[in-house]
Amino acid sequence: MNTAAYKFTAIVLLILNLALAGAIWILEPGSLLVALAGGLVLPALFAATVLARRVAPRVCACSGGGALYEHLAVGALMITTALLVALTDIADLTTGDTGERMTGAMLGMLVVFFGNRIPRESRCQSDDPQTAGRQQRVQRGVGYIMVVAGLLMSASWIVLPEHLAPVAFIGIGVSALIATGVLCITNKRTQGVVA
Amino acid sequence: MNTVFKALADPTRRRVLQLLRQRPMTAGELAEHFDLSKPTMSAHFGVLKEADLIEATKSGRSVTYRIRMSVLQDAMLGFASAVKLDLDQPVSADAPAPEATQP
Repeated sequence: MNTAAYKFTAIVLLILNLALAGAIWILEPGSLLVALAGGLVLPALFAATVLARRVAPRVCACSGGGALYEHLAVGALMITTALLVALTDIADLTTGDTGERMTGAMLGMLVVFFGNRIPRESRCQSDDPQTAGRQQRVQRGVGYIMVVAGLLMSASWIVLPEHLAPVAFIGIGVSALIATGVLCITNKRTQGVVA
Repeated sequence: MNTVFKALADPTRRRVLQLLRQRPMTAGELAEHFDLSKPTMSAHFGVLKEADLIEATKSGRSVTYRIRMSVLQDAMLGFASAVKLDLDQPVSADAPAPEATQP
């Protein structure tokens, strides 16, 4: 997707967000604070993004340019999902732990989304081809680890019993971080041997 | 996504991507691995750039290519290479090409 598509997605989610926040407030007037927080966080982020691009376009370009709207759209999706889960709970549309499972599976898919993009990132790579090659390999390895971990994290919330799902979710996440650390250290040592 | 499939459907372009997976290379370094004319190689680079699978950095008279593949695209490259996918028509030198090539 290009910047315009992410901008459009963010705006659509912004409108959906406000509608969900309004619905939560109507169904449960006592949850005004939750509705306000959920409904106002995204518009505030959107305004800040637009302002940042107007005020400091060069800084925005250095820190990712069009990626700002992409990250905004992903953040918007998270808030919208949280509001949707809250609304289904309030309206008694879900039973048991469905909301919790939906949120867990969604978080796993976010790890997949960001992990998938890690190897594409080249802004911090060295100008030296050999060093850049090593950096690419590490980024690719970390990307694969995160994608597999994200899929497993989502699957754990979908298939495992309620008492095991969070343990597996955290265990997989921690294992992925350890594997990432090992990969980076191994690469650093190899680099030292080569040098 | 269609441009990515198109880019991965040709064995020469897949070989270029596999070479760039090792390290960034100049157009000249990449061309040494192929028995193809400069315009044909440039056309292949153009297709890969259009699909946003590589990026080109110009320094002086040389252009350095760097891979920009996501995990999913990398897995697709592996799959296409494994099944030796070859769906594309021979690339033409008229296709969009980068502005400069070998030093």
